Amino acid sequence: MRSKALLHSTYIVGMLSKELLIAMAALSIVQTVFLSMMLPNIAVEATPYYTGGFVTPQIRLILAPVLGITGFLYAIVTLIAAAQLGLELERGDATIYLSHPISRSSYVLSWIIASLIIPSTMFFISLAIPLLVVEPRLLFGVSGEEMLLLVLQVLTGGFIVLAASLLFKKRSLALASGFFEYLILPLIMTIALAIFFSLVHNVTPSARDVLWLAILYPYNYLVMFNHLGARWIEAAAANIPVLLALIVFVILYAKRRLEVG
Amino acid sequence: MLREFGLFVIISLLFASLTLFHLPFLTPHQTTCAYGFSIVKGDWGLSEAILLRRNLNVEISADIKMTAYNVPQVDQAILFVIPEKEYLRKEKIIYNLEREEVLKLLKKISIRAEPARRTAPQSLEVVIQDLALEESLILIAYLEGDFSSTPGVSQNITPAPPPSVPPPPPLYFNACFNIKAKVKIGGEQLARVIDVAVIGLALFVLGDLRSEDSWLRRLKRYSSVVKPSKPKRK
Repeated sequence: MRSKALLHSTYIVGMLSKELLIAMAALSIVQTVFLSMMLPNIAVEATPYYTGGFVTPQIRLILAPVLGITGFLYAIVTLIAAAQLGLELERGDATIYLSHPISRSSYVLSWIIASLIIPSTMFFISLAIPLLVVEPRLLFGVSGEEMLLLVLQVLTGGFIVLAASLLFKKRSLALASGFFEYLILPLIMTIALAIFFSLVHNVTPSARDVLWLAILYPYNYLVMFNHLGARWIEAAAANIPVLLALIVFVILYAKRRLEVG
Repeated sequence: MLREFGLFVIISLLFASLTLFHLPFLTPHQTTCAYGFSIVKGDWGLSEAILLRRNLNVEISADIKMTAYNVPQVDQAILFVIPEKEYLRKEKIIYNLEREEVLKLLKKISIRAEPARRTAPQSLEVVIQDLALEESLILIAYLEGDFSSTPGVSQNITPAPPPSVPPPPPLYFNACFNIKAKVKIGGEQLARVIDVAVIGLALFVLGDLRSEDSWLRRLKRYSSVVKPSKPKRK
Protein backbone atom coordinates (compact mmCIF):
# COMPACT_ATOMS: atom_id res chain seq x y z
CA MET A 1 0.00 0.00 0.00
CA ARG A 2 2.82 2.32 0.97
CA SER A 3 4.70 1.89 -2.29
CA LYS A 4 1.55 2.52 -4.34
CA ALA A 5 0.83 5.66 -2.36
CA LEU A 6 4.40 6.82 -2.92
CA LEU A 7 4.22 6.00 -6.61
CA HIS A 8 1.01 7.94 -7.06
CA SER A 9 2.27 10.85 -4.97
CA THR A 10 5.36 10.96 -7.23
CA TYR A 11 3.01 11.19 -10.17
CA ILE A 12 1.05 14.03 -8.49
CA VAL A 13 4.26 15.88 -7.65
CA GLY A 14 5.38 15.44 -11.25
CA MET A 15 2.04 16.83 -12.39
CA LEU A 16 2.31 19.83 -10.06
CA SER A 17 6.08 20.20 -10.43
CA LYS A 18 5.96 23.48 -12.37
CA GLU A 19 3.73 25.15 -9.78
CA LEU A 20 5.70 23.66 -6.89
CA LEU A 21 9.00 24.87 -8.34
CA ILE A 22 7.59 28.40 -8.80
CA ALA A 23 6.35 28.31 -5.20
CA MET A 24 9.76 27.06 -4.06
CA ALA A 25 11.49 29.91 -5.90
CA ALA A 26 9.08 32.43 -4.32
CA LEU A 27 9.63 30.94 -0.86
CA SER A 28 13.40 31.01 -1.33
CA ILE A 29 13.40 34.61 -2.60
CA VAL A 30 11.33 35.90 0.30
CA GLN A 31 13.30 33.86 2.79
CA THR A 32 16.71 34.99 1.54
CA VAL A 33 15.74 38.65 1.07
CA PHE A 34 14.53 38.87 4.65
CA LEU A 35 17.44 36.89 5.98
CA SER A 36 19.97 39.02 4.12
CA MET A 37 18.47 42.18 5.56
CA MET A 38 18.48 40.77 9.05
CA LEU A 39 21.79 38.94 9.06
CA PRO A 40 24.12 41.83 9.91
CA ASN A 41 21.97 42.63 12.92
CA ILE A 42 21.84 38.98 13.89
CA ALA A 43 25.60 38.74 13.48
CA VAL A 44 26.29 41.50 16.01
CA GLU A 45 24.20 42.07 19.06
CA ALA A 46 24.73 45.28 21.03
CA THR A 47 23.32 45.40 24.54
CA PRO A 48 24.01 47.44 27.66
CA TYR A 49 26.56 45.56 29.69
CA TYR A 50 25.87 44.62 33.26
CA THR A 51 28.34 43.10 35.68
CA GLY A 52 28.22 39.35 35.41
CA GLY A 53 27.93 39.47 31.67
CA PHE A 54 25.27 38.89 29.13
CA VAL A 55 23.60 35.52 29.25
CA THR A 56 20.97 34.59 26.66
CA PRO A 57 21.36 35.22 22.93
CA GLN A 58 17.90 35.65 21.41
CA ILE A 59 18.39 34.53 17.83
CA ARG A 60 15.06 32.73 17.86
CA LEU A 61 13.08 35.92 18.29
CA ILE A 62 15.11 37.75 15.70
CA LEU A 63 14.18 35.25 13.00
CA ALA A 64 10.49 35.29 13.91
CA PRO A 65 9.50 37.82 11.17
CA VAL A 66 10.97 35.54 8.48
CA LEU A 67 8.98 32.60 9.80
CA GLY A 68 5.81 34.69 9.96
CA ILE A 69 5.96 35.81 6.33
CA THR A 70 7.17 32.63 4.66
CA GLY A 71 4.86 30.59 6.88
CA PHE A 72 1.98 32.43 5.26
CA LEU A 73 3.28 31.58 1.77
CA TYR A 74 3.77 27.96 2.83
CA ALA A 75 0.16 27.81 4.03
CA ILE A 76 -1.17 29.19 0.74
CA VAL A 77 0.85 26.67 -1.29
CA THR A 78 -0.39 23.82 0.92
CA LEU A 79 -4.05 24.84 0.71
CA ILE A 80 -3.92 25.20 -3.09
CA ALA A 81 -2.14 21.87 -3.48
CA ALA A 82 -4.67 20.11 -1.23
CA ALA A 83 -7.57 21.59 -3.20
CA GLN A 84 -6.25 19.87 -6.34
CA LEU A 85 -7.79 16.67 -4.97
CA GLY A 86 -11.16 18.39 -5.30
CA LEU A 87 -10.36 19.20 -8.92
CA GLU A 88 -9.42 15.58 -9.61
CA LEU A 89 -12.68 14.33 -8.08
CA GLU A 90 -14.66 17.07 -9.84
CA ARG A 91 -13.28 16.22 -13.29
CA GLY A 92 -13.63 12.51 -12.70
CA ASP A 93 -9.92 11.79 -13.15
CA ALA A 94 -10.01 9.87 -9.88
CA THR A 95 -12.13 7.19 -11.55
CA ILE A 96 -9.27 6.42 -13.94
CA TYR A 97 -6.72 6.14 -11.13
CA LEU A 98 -9.00 4.07 -8.93
CA SER A 99 -9.70 1.66 -11.79
CA HIS A 100 -6.05 0.63 -11.39
CA PRO A 101 -5.12 -1.63 -8.48
CA ILE A 102 -4.80 1.18 -5.94
CA SER A 103 -6.95 1.32 -2.84
CA ARG A 104 -8.89 4.42 -1.85
CA SER A 105 -6.80 4.87 1.29
CA SER A 106 -3.56 4.66 -0.75
CA TYR A 107 -5.02 7.18 -3.15
CA VAL A 108 -5.80 9.65 -0.35
CA LEU A 109 -2.49 8.90 1.36
CA SER A 110 -0.68 9.82 -1.86
CA TRP A 111 -2.53 13.15 -1.87
CA ILE A 112 -1.56 13.71 1.77
CA ILE A 113 2.10 13.16 0.82
CA ALA A 114 1.96 15.31 -2.31
CA SER A 115 -0.07 18.20 -0.99
CA LEU A 116 0.95 18.38 2.68
CA ILE A 117 4.29 16.64 3.21
CA ILE A 118 6.01 18.00 0.09
CA PRO A 119 5.17 21.70 0.77
CA SER A 120 6.29 21.20 4.39
CA THR A 121 9.61 19.83 3.13
CA MET A 122 9.90 22.73 0.68
CA PHE A 123 9.31 25.18 3.49
CA PHE A 124 11.96 23.54 5.62
CA ILE A 125 14.50 23.37 2.78
CA SER A 126 13.98 27.01 1.78
CA LEU A 127 14.65 28.09 5.36
CA ALA A 128 17.34 25.59 6.22
CA ILE A 129 19.66 26.02 3.23
CA PRO A 130 20.41 29.76 3.55
CA LEU A 131 20.95 29.26 7.28
CA LEU A 132 23.08 26.19 6.69
CA VAL A 133 25.30 28.05 4.24
CA VAL A 134 25.77 31.16 6.36
CA GLU A 135 26.09 29.50 9.74
CA PRO A 136 24.76 26.03 10.66
CA ARG A 137 24.44 27.14 14.29
CA LEU A 138 21.63 29.45 13.20
CA LEU A 139 19.51 26.43 12.35
CA PHE A 140 19.30 25.66 16.04
CA GLY A 141 18.56 29.32 16.68
CA VAL A 142 15.31 29.04 14.75
CA SER A 143 12.76 28.24 17.33
CA GLY A 144 11.86 24.57 16.96
CA GLU A 145 8.63 25.03 18.85
CA GLU A 146 7.56 27.90 16.64
CA MET A 147 8.27 25.83 13.51
CA LEU A 148 6.38 22.87 14.96
CA LEU A 149 3.31 24.97 15.75
CA LEU A 150 3.38 26.55 12.31
CA VAL A 151 3.53 23.13 10.65
CA LEU A 152 0.67 21.87 12.88
CA GLN A 153 -1.45 24.89 12.00
CA VAL A 154 -0.85 24.56 8.27
CA LEU A 155 -1.44 20.78 8.37
CA THR A 156 -4.76 21.39 10.15
CA GLY A 157 -5.77 23.79 7.38
CA GLY A 158 -4.54 21.32 4.74
CA PHE A 159 -6.55 18.45 6.20
CA ILE A 160 -9.65 20.64 6.35
CA VAL A 161 -9.20 21.34 2.61
CA LEU A 162 -8.68 17.62 1.88
CA ALA A 163 -11.82 16.78 3.88
CA ALA A 164 -13.77 19.48 2.02
CA SER A 165 -12.46 18.12 -1.30
CA LEU A 166 -13.69 14.63 -0.40
CA LEU A 167 -17.05 15.88 0.88
CA PHE A 168 -17.92 18.40 -1.83
CA LYS A 169 -15.84 16.97 -4.72
CA LYS A 170 -15.33 20.53 -5.92
CA ARG A 171 -12.07 22.45 -6.00
CA SER A 172 -13.69 25.86 -5.57
CA LEU A 173 -15.58 24.81 -2.45
CA ALA A 174 -12.51 23.11 -1.00
CA LEU A 175 -10.42 26.22 -1.61
CA ALA A 176 -13.12 28.49 -0.20
CA SER A 177 -13.37 26.43 2.98
CA GLY A 178 -9.56 26.42 3.30
CA PHE A 179 -9.20 30.15 2.85
CA PHE A 180 -12.10 30.80 5.19
CA GLU A 181 -10.55 28.61 7.86
CA TYR A 182 -7.00 29.92 7.45
CA LEU A 183 -7.48 33.59 6.61
CA ILE A 184 -10.95 34.85 7.49
CA LEU A 185 -11.90 32.90 10.62
CA PRO A 186 -8.79 34.01 12.59
CA LEU A 187 -9.64 37.63 11.76
CA ILE A 188 -13.22 37.19 12.93
CA MET A 189 -12.01 35.46 16.10
CA THR A 190 -9.47 38.20 16.81
CA ILE A 191 -12.07 40.95 16.36
CA ALA A 192 -14.52 39.06 18.57
CA LEU A 193 -11.83 38.65 21.23
CA ALA A 194 -10.90 42.33 21.07
CA ILE A 195 -14.55 43.35 21.48
CA PHE A 196 -15.04 40.88 24.32
CA PHE A 197 -11.98 42.05 26.26
CA SER A 198 -12.85 45.71 25.70
CA LEU A 199 -16.31 45.07 27.22
CA VAL A 200 -14.96 43.19 30.23
CA HIS A 201 -12.90 45.92 31.86
CA ASN A 202 -12.09 44.41 35.21
CA VAL A 203 -10.72 41.11 34.00
CA THR A 204 -7.08 40.81 33.00
CA PRO A 205 -7.02 38.06 30.36
CA SER A 206 -4.54 35.26 30.67
CA ALA A 207 -3.27 33.04 27.84
CA ARG A 208 -5.30 30.10 29.19
CA ASP A 209 -8.55 32.04 28.69
CA VAL A 210 -7.97 32.00 24.95
CA LEU A 211 -6.44 28.53 24.66
CA TRP A 212 -9.43 27.46 22.54
CA LEU A 213 -7.89 29.52 19.73
CA ALA A 214 -5.00 27.04 19.65
CA ILE A 215 -7.36 24.22 18.62
CA LEU A 216 -7.11 25.43 15.03
CA TYR A 217 -4.38 28.08 15.24
CA PRO A 218 -1.59 27.01 17.61
CA TYR A 219 1.02 29.24 15.94
CA ASN A 220 -1.20 32.33 15.93
CA TYR A 221 -2.02 31.66 19.57
CA LEU A 222 1.66 31.53 20.55
CA VAL A 223 2.57 34.68 18.61
CA MET A 224 -0.46 36.69 19.74
CA PHE A 225 -0.48 35.71 23.40
CA ASN A 226 3.19 35.20 24.09
CA HIS A 227 3.16 38.29 26.27
CA LEU A 228 0.35 36.80 28.36
CA GLY A 229 2.36 33.66 29.04
CA ALA A 230 1.19 31.40 26.20
CA ARG A 231 3.10 28.12 26.21
CA TRP A 232 3.87 26.18 23.06
CA ILE A 233 3.27 22.81 24.67
CA GLU A 234 -0.29 23.77 25.64
CA ALA A 235 -0.93 25.07 22.13
CA ALA A 236 0.37 21.82 20.61
CA ALA A 237 -1.66 19.75 23.10
CA ALA A 238 -4.82 21.64 22.15
CA ASN A 239 -4.24 21.21 18.41
CA ILE A 240 -2.90 17.65 18.06
CA PRO A 241 -6.18 15.80 18.98
CA VAL A 242 -8.10 17.88 16.41
CA LEU A 243 -5.45 17.22 13.77
CA LEU A 244 -5.49 13.49 14.51
CA ALA A 245 -9.29 13.47 14.31
CA LEU A 246 -9.10 15.19 10.92
CA ILE A 247 -6.53 12.65 9.65
CA VAL A 248 -8.68 9.73 10.81
CA PHE A 249 -11.77 11.32 9.28
CA VAL A 250 -10.09 11.87 5.89
CA ILE A 251 -8.71 8.32 5.71
CA LEU A 252 -11.87 6.60 6.98
CA TYR A 253 -14.14 8.68 4.78
CA ALA A 254 -12.00 7.91 1.73
CA LYS A 255 -11.97 4.20 2.60
CA ARG A 256 -15.67 3.76 3.29
CA ARG A 257 -17.70 6.55 1.79
CA LEU A 258 -15.79 7.97 -1.15
CA GLU A 259 -17.63 7.46 -4.39
CA VAL A 260 -16.16 8.50 -7.67
CA GLY A 261 -17.63 8.63 -11.09
CA MET B 1 10.10 12.78 -6.32
CA LEU B 2 13.82 12.73 -5.60
CA ARG B 3 14.35 14.85 -8.72
CA GLU B 4 12.00 17.53 -7.38
CA PHE B 5 13.77 17.46 -4.00
CA GLY B 6 17.08 17.96 -5.79
CA LEU B 7 15.61 20.88 -7.69
CA PHE B 8 14.25 22.41 -4.47
CA VAL B 9 17.72 22.22 -2.95
CA ILE B 10 19.35 23.75 -6.04
CA ILE B 11 16.81 26.61 -6.26
CA SER B 12 17.14 27.40 -2.58
CA LEU B 13 20.92 27.28 -2.81
CA LEU B 14 20.90 29.61 -5.80
CA PHE B 15 19.06 32.30 -3.86
CA ALA B 16 21.12 31.68 -0.74
CA SER B 17 24.28 32.24 -2.78
CA LEU B 18 22.88 35.48 -4.18
CA THR B 19 22.28 36.62 -0.61
CA LEU B 20 25.83 35.76 0.34
CA PHE B 21 27.31 37.89 -2.40
CA HIS B 22 25.24 40.88 -1.31
CA LEU B 23 25.96 40.60 2.39
CA PRO B 24 29.06 42.89 2.44
CA PHE B 25 26.93 45.66 0.90
CA LEU B 26 24.19 45.43 3.50
CA THR B 27 24.84 47.46 6.63
CA PRO B 28 21.68 48.05 8.60
CA HIS B 29 22.04 50.21 11.72
CA GLN B 30 21.29 49.32 15.26
CA THR B 31 21.45 51.75 18.13
CA THR B 32 21.93 50.96 21.79
CA CYS B 33 22.24 53.49 24.57
CA ALA B 34 24.06 53.36 27.87
CA TYR B 35 22.61 55.58 30.56
CA GLY B 36 24.80 57.19 33.19
CA PHE B 37 28.15 56.22 34.62
CA SER B 38 29.34 52.86 35.88
CA ILE B 39 31.95 54.65 38.00
CA VAL B 40 32.08 58.37 38.70
CA LYS B 41 34.57 60.01 41.00
CA GLY B 42 35.52 63.63 41.54
CA ASP B 43 37.61 64.16 38.43
CA TRP B 44 37.01 61.12 36.27
CA GLY B 45 34.29 58.67 35.31
CA LEU B 46 33.51 55.65 33.18
CA SER B 47 30.28 55.47 31.23
CA GLU B 48 28.03 52.44 31.41
CA ALA B 49 29.48 49.89 29.02
CA ILE B 50 28.00 48.35 25.89
CA LEU B 51 28.61 44.73 25.00
CA LEU B 52 29.09 43.87 21.35
CA ARG B 53 28.34 40.20 21.08
CA ARG B 54 29.30 38.14 18.06
CA ASN B 55 26.56 35.65 17.21
CA LEU B 56 27.77 34.13 13.95
CA ASN B 57 30.93 32.36 13.08
CA VAL B 58 31.62 34.60 10.07
CA GLU B 59 34.00 37.46 9.35
CA ILE B 60 32.40 40.59 10.78
CA SER B 61 33.55 44.18 10.83
CA ALA B 62 31.67 47.11 12.33
CA ASP B 63 31.59 50.89 12.09
CA ILE B 64 30.69 52.43 15.43
CA LYS B 65 29.63 55.97 16.18
CA MET B 66 29.19 57.01 19.79
CA THR B 67 27.25 60.18 20.56
CA ALA B 68 27.19 61.25 24.19
CA TYR B 69 24.61 63.71 25.51
CA ASN B 70 24.39 65.84 28.67
CA VAL B 71 28.13 65.64 29.13
CA PRO B 72 29.42 67.49 32.18
CA GLN B 73 32.59 69.65 32.12
CA VAL B 74 35.02 67.35 30.34
CA ASP B 75 38.71 67.89 29.62
CA GLN B 76 39.32 64.61 27.94
CA ALA B 77 37.12 61.74 26.70
CA ILE B 78 38.26 58.49 25.13
CA LEU B 79 36.24 55.56 23.84
CA PHE B 80 37.93 52.25 24.60
CA VAL B 81 37.24 48.95 22.87
CA ILE B 82 38.16 46.08 25.19
CA PRO B 83 37.75 42.30 24.77
CA GLU B 84 35.00 41.15 27.12
CA LYS B 85 37.14 38.49 28.82
CA GLU B 86 39.88 41.00 29.53
CA TYR B 87 37.41 43.53 30.89
CA LEU B 88 35.73 40.97 33.14
CA ARG B 89 39.12 40.10 34.61
CA LYS B 90 40.02 43.70 35.37
CA GLU B 91 36.57 45.11 36.14
CA LYS B 92 36.79 44.88 39.93
CA ILE B 93 40.27 46.37 40.10
CA ILE B 94 39.17 49.53 38.31
CA TYR B 95 37.00 50.60 41.26
CA ASN B 96 40.02 50.89 43.54
CA LEU B 97 42.39 52.67 41.17
CA GLU B 98 43.35 56.29 40.80
CA ARG B 99 42.76 58.30 37.66
CA GLU B 100 46.17 57.82 36.03
CA GLU B 101 46.21 54.11 36.88
CA VAL B 102 42.75 53.59 35.35
CA LEU B 103 43.77 55.34 32.15
CA LYS B 104 46.95 53.32 31.98
CA LEU B 105 45.09 50.06 32.56
CA LEU B 106 42.41 50.82 29.97
CA LYS B 107 45.06 51.70 27.39
CA LYS B 108 46.85 48.47 28.16
CA ILE B 109 43.85 46.13 27.82
CA SER B 110 42.07 47.88 24.95
CA ILE B 111 42.41 46.93 21.31
CA ARG B 112 41.28 50.33 20.04
CA ALA B 113 41.06 53.74 21.69
CA GLU B 114 39.66 56.82 19.98
CA PRO B 115 39.50 60.31 21.52
CA ALA B 116 36.12 62.03 21.41
CA ARG B 117 35.48 65.45 19.93
CA ARG B 118 32.96 67.96 21.18
CA THR B 119 30.16 68.57 18.68
CA ALA B 120 27.98 70.85 20.84
CA PRO B 121 28.34 72.39 24.33
CA GLN B 122 27.00 69.26 26.00
CA SER B 123 27.66 66.50 23.52
CA LEU B 124 30.58 64.39 22.34
CA GLU B 125 31.14 62.19 19.33
CA VAL B 126 33.56 59.36 18.52
CA VAL B 127 33.76 57.32 15.33
CA ILE B 128 35.51 53.97 15.10
CA GLN B 129 35.70 52.48 11.63
CA ASP B 130 36.32 48.96 10.42
CA LEU B 131 36.52 47.33 13.81
CA ALA B 132 37.18 43.62 13.35
CA LEU B 133 34.84 41.68 15.59
CA GLU B 134 36.68 38.49 16.37
CA GLU B 135 35.30 38.11 19.88
CA SER B 136 32.81 39.82 22.17
CA LEU B 137 33.87 43.38 22.88
CA ILE B 138 33.11 46.01 25.48
CA LEU B 139 32.72 49.66 24.51
CA ILE B 140 33.33 52.03 27.39
CA ALA B 141 33.95 55.77 27.49
CA TYR B 142 36.51 57.25 29.88
CA LEU B 143 35.85 60.88 30.80
CA GLU B 144 38.06 63.31 32.66
CA GLY B 145 36.84 66.61 34.10
CA ASP B 146 34.89 68.12 36.95
CA PHE B 147 32.21 65.65 38.03
CA SER B 148 31.65 66.94 41.55
CA SER B 149 28.06 67.95 40.79
CA THR B 150 27.20 64.71 39.02
CA PRO B 151 24.60 62.62 40.88
CA GLY B 152 26.07 59.49 42.43
CA VAL B 153 29.64 60.81 42.72
CA SER B 154 31.60 58.87 45.34
CA GLN B 155 33.45 61.32 47.55
CA ASN B 156 33.17 62.54 51.11
CA ILE B 157 31.37 65.87 50.91
CA THR B 158 29.23 67.29 53.72
CA PRO B 159 25.67 67.32 52.40
CA ALA B 160 24.33 70.83 51.73
CA PRO B 161 21.15 71.97 53.52
CA PRO B 162 18.01 71.46 51.43
CA PRO B 163 17.28 74.50 49.26
CA SER B 164 14.07 76.45 49.76
CA VAL B 165 13.23 76.18 46.04
CA PRO B 166 13.70 72.68 44.63
CA PRO B 167 16.42 72.62 41.96
CA PRO B 168 15.61 71.43 38.44
CA PRO B 169 16.18 67.71 37.94
CA PRO B 170 19.73 66.98 36.79
CA LEU B 171 20.31 65.98 33.18
CA TYR B 172 21.83 62.54 33.19
CA PHE B 173 24.74 61.64 30.99
CA ASN B 174 23.99 59.07 28.31
CA ALA B 175 25.88 57.64 25.38
CA CYS B 176 24.24 56.13 22.31
CA PHE B 177 26.14 53.75 20.07
CA ASN B 178 25.17 53.44 16.44
CA ILE B 179 26.52 50.19 15.04
CA LYS B 180 26.74 49.21 11.38
CA ALA B 181 27.82 45.60 11.08
CA LYS B 182 29.21 44.17 7.87
CA VAL B 183 29.25 40.41 7.29
CA LYS B 184 31.89 39.12 4.90
CA ILE B 185 31.92 35.82 3.06
CA GLY B 186 34.69 33.45 3.95
CA GLY B 187 36.02 30.17 2.64
CA GLU B 188 33.81 28.25 5.08
CA GLN B 189 30.61 29.56 3.51
CA LEU B 190 31.86 28.81 -0.01
CA ALA B 191 32.78 25.29 1.05
CA ARG B 192 29.28 24.79 2.44
CA VAL B 193 27.75 26.14 -0.80
CA ILE B 194 29.74 23.54 -2.75
CA ASP B 195 28.72 20.77 -0.32
CA VAL B 196 25.02 21.59 -0.62
CA ALA B 197 25.30 21.99 -4.40
CA VAL B 198 26.83 18.52 -4.69
CA ILE B 199 24.06 17.03 -2.55
CA GLY B 200 21.36 18.82 -4.56
CA LEU B 201 22.86 17.76 -7.89
CA ALA B 202 23.27 14.16 -6.73
CA LEU B 203 19.60 14.05 -5.63
CA PHE B 204 18.51 15.57 -8.91
CA VAL B 205 20.55 13.20 -11.11
CA LEU B 206 19.57 10.09 -9.10
CA GLY B 207 15.91 11.05 -9.07
CA ASP B 208 15.92 11.93 -12.74
CA LEU B 209 17.60 8.72 -13.88
CA ARG B 210 15.09 6.70 -11.86
CA SER B 211 12.05 8.44 -13.31
CA GLU B 212 10.37 7.30 -16.50
CA ASP B 213 10.35 10.69 -18.22
CA SER B 214 13.98 11.44 -17.46
CA TRP B 215 14.98 14.98 -18.47
CA LEU B 216 18.63 14.01 -18.72
CA ARG B 217 17.90 11.04 -21.01
CA ARG B 218 15.69 13.26 -23.12
CA LEU B 219 18.47 15.83 -23.33
CA LYS B 220 20.90 13.10 -24.36
CA ARG B 221 18.54 11.83 -27.05
CA TYR B 222 17.97 15.38 -28.28
CA SER B 223 21.68 16.13 -28.49
CA SER B 224 22.48 12.83 -30.22
CA VAL B 225 19.94 13.38 -33.02
CA VAL B 226 21.94 14.28 -36.12
CA LYS B 227 20.24 17.10 -37.91
CA PRO B 228 20.13 16.67 -41.69
CA SER B 229 22.50 19.15 -43.25
CA LYS B 230 21.33 21.43 -46.05
CA PRO B 231 22.22 20.34 -49.57
CA LYS B 232 25.25 22.14 -50.80
CA ARG B 233 24.79 24.54 -53.68
CA LYS B 234 26.83 23.94 -56.69
